[in-house]
Amino acid sequence: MTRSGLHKNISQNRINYLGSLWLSANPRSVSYKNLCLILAKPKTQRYNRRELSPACVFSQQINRMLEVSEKQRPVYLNLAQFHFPPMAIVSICHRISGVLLFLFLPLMLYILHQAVHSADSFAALTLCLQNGFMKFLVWVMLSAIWFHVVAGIRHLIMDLGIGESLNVARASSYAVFVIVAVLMIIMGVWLW
Amino acid sequence: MVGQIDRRGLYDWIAQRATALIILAYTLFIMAYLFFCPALNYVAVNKIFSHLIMKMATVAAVLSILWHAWIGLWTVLTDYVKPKLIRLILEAAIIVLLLSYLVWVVEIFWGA
Repeated sequence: MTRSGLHKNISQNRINYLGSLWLSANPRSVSYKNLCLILAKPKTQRYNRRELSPACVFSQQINRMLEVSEKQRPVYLNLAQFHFPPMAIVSICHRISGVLLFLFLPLMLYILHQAVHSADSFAALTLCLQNGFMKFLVWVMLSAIWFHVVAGIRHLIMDLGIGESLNVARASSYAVFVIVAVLMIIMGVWLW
Repeated sequence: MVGQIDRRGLYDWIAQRATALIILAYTLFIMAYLFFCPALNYVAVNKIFSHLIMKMATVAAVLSILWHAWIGLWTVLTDYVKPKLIRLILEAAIIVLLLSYLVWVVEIFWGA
């Protein structure tokens, strides 16, 4: 297989995340032919707890390969092409939305203050929120709230020991994105 | 100090979840109110926020948010900001900011 063929294979058959971390942590050379054989494996493989996880199998295969590789060549790994599991993306988005909400606290308190202070300040607030940029800010804030709420509920449910298996965790993290996307659309329709 | 084991991590873990539930209840109530309130005007908003229960709930929610935010931001800073001095400065700034928000809430309800 040519170099460009390998390049294509990496992006198409997404490397298992842990396996790729292992590779990036151990940038020892691997022969192209053997690397292609591994990367050509299908993206998802069904396995149960008794079997080895794909990451484990992956690293075992690379270990075996390193023993047999005759040519020592450096391997280029593009970090941007690595596929992160949805659970990891939910987790980092939960953090980002949390930090965003901290930054939005003054806006929330400002809105509350203006809303309850007097009839004049309420009217001023209503006028202020007609502004397109302010509406956008409020929409971003509401989106961050909903993401943090939905992902947080998932987190609490998992703390109770429910849905901790790999397949359920993956499905529920996809569900978080779908629910939040719907809520973001509803918020947008409601604001505009 | 190395070797000293305290239970702060456990308390933080419990506090983060307990405050999360309080904030969740308050947020859902406010969202439902804003969404289903037939006429959102000053009279309606002022009326609901002048109830003592609503003031208590808001102060409880804000206190929960401050505590929850502190635990979350402490975690984030510990993970991503490695230089100790910079982290200490950021942590101090966050504490001052969060406490000033508490003053703001008191001002909103009981100010002149």
